[in-house]
Parts: sequence; structure tokens; C-alpha cells
Amino acid sequence: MHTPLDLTGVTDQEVVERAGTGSEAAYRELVRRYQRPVFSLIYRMVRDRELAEDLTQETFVKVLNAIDRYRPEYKFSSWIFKIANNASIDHLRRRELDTLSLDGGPDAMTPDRVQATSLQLGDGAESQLEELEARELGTQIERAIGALRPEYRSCIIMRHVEGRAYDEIADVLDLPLGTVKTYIHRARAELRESLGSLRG
Amino acid sequence: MEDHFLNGSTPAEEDPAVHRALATLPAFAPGPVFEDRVMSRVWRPLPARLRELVLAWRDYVDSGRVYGPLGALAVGALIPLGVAIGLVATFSTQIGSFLAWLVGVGVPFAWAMARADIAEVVSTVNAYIAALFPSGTALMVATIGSVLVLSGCTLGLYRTMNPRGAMRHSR
Repeated sequence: MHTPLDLTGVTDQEVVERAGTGSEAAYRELVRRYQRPVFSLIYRMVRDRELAEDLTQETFVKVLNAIDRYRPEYKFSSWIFKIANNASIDHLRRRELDTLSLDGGPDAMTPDRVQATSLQLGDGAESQLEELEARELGTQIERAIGALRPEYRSCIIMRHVEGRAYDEIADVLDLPLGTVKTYIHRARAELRESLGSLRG
Repeated sequence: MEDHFLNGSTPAEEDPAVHRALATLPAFAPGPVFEDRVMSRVWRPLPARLRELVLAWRDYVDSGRVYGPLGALAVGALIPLGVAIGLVATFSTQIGSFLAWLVGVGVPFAWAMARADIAEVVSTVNAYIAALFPSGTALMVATIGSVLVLSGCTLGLYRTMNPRGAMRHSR
């Protein structure tokens, strides 16, 4: 049920304060403000639209259900990006473990045997949805970002797509400011190399 | 915070291609009913009006204005207590004699009556059982038979619900 209350010009802190009093309009405003940046970050991290939507939903549910524990001295955006980034990284770590178990059967000792016993993922025609995903994430720069290490990827997306300040990125990732700068520098260097090699 | 590379030059100077490419990245959006899906799983603390009432009450307590009404309530509760103590003090002799009679006569009499009633109930039940089962042996055989029939029914029901081989084919 929508409450006819315009919160578009109100600061995040004030909206969170109103959400703390149980105002549904304030909750919806927070979802509207952050659904695109949070979804974009997670989607670029996990590169699967359906999964990204699930993780984005989990992020919002976690944040909004803990709104009374929010500390106003921190930026709301830092808090929600931190939870979104942690959800993505946790998923990537889990998937890495799952992927290891798919690389051939446990008794496969030779490369031929590994090949024979591996599960073939993505065989057959891709669905329309998968094609669309491949297209929207298929540009050179998106591919190059997808090839970065997850830590570099988080940094470069938050810096260059979301336009977050270095110190906010450091807060979100729980990293020292210097490390964030180094990660972004290295990520740009890798992107430069990838784009250069793609252009041939 | 300035956006400089480690060597001091800006990304736009050193990496125009990368910078241009990054600037073209679009923001993606989740599906159309995303907001409603999130809201259906969010637990909101308290309705706004109720929250306001709670806050008003806290304000009332914090300001100290609550102590007047609370004091009046406490005095109101003390009045019946004072009346009760006064009555006990006035009729202490009569109350003492009543308690002595209760302990010496009333309670033992009531206990004797209760015991007689219990004994009567027990003897009636015994007579009823003796009329139904003429001998102890017949009662024992009937009990063992009932247990065996009940066990057989339970086993039959289990076999019906878990036919042989069913576990082997399911994961």
C-alpha cells in the first residue's frame, strides 16, 4: 500500500529516521533510491540476473529489518553497499567451492578422465534470457571488468560506476584507504591492458 | 578526494580509453515488482501512530510529570490495605477464636469426611472390576491379547505405508 508522501528531496538520514518510526513510505523510498545501484553492483559481481535479483532482495530485507540498529554517524549508502558486497563475495566464494567439485569425478587421475567425467555446463542453446544477459554484460568493458579479481571489481564498480569516494569504498570493503587506491590503480591497469588487447 | 593515479596524473590524462569506457556503463534495474517483493518480507517496527504514543509516554515519564498520578495511584492502593489492618486489629479476639476452632475441629472434621468419601469410591470401583472380570487369570489373558493385537495392527500399518523396496528407489 503506497502512502502519498513525497520524500524525494529528503536526505537519506531523514528517510531512515522516518523508516524507524514504521513509515512504509520511507521504506519504499529507500528501496527506490538504492535498488538500481545495489542491483548493478551485485549483477556485475555475480554476472547472473536472477541470482543478482535474489541477492539484492536479501540485501534489502537484511538492511530494512535492521533499520532500528542503523547508526546515523555512518552513511546509509556505505552500510547497504557493504552488505551487498559481502553477499556477492560470499556467493562467489561458495560458487568457487562448487566449481571445484564439478571439475571431474573424484577418481579422475588423468586429464582425459577429468574431461570425461566433468559436468558440461551451458551446453545446448542458450535461452533468450541468457542471450540478453550475455548481450548486456557482453561489451568489451563489461567483459574486462568480469575478468578482474572480485576485490578489484568491487572497487572499480563503486568508484567509476557508482561514483563513490575512496574513503567510502574503504569503509564498505573494510580496507585501508591506501589498499583501495592500489586496487583501483591495478584494476585500471588491467582494464587498460584488456581493452588494448581486445582492440588488437 | 581527488581521483589521481599513483604517479600523480589523472585517469582521464593517462587512461582516456578506460575512462571513456567506464563512463558508458549503464545502471541495471531489477524486475518491476522488486519493491513489492522486498516490502512483503520486511517487518516494520511499529505503526507510526503507536510509535508516537510510545514516544509521548517516554517523554511524559522523562519529564517527571508522571510521578504525581503514580503517587495518587499508590495512595489509592494503600487505603484498602489500611482498612484491612484496622479490621483485624479491632476484631483480633474473635478472629483468634475462629482460627483456634478451625485448627482444632473444622479441619480434622473435613479431612475425616474426605477420607470416607475416597474410601467409598475406591470400594465401588473394585466391586465393578470384580463383576466384569471374574478371575485375575482372565484379566491377564485379555491384557496380553490386547497387546498382541495392537502390535500386529501397528506392524501391518507400517508395512502398508512403507512397501518393500520403496526406500531403494527414492533418493
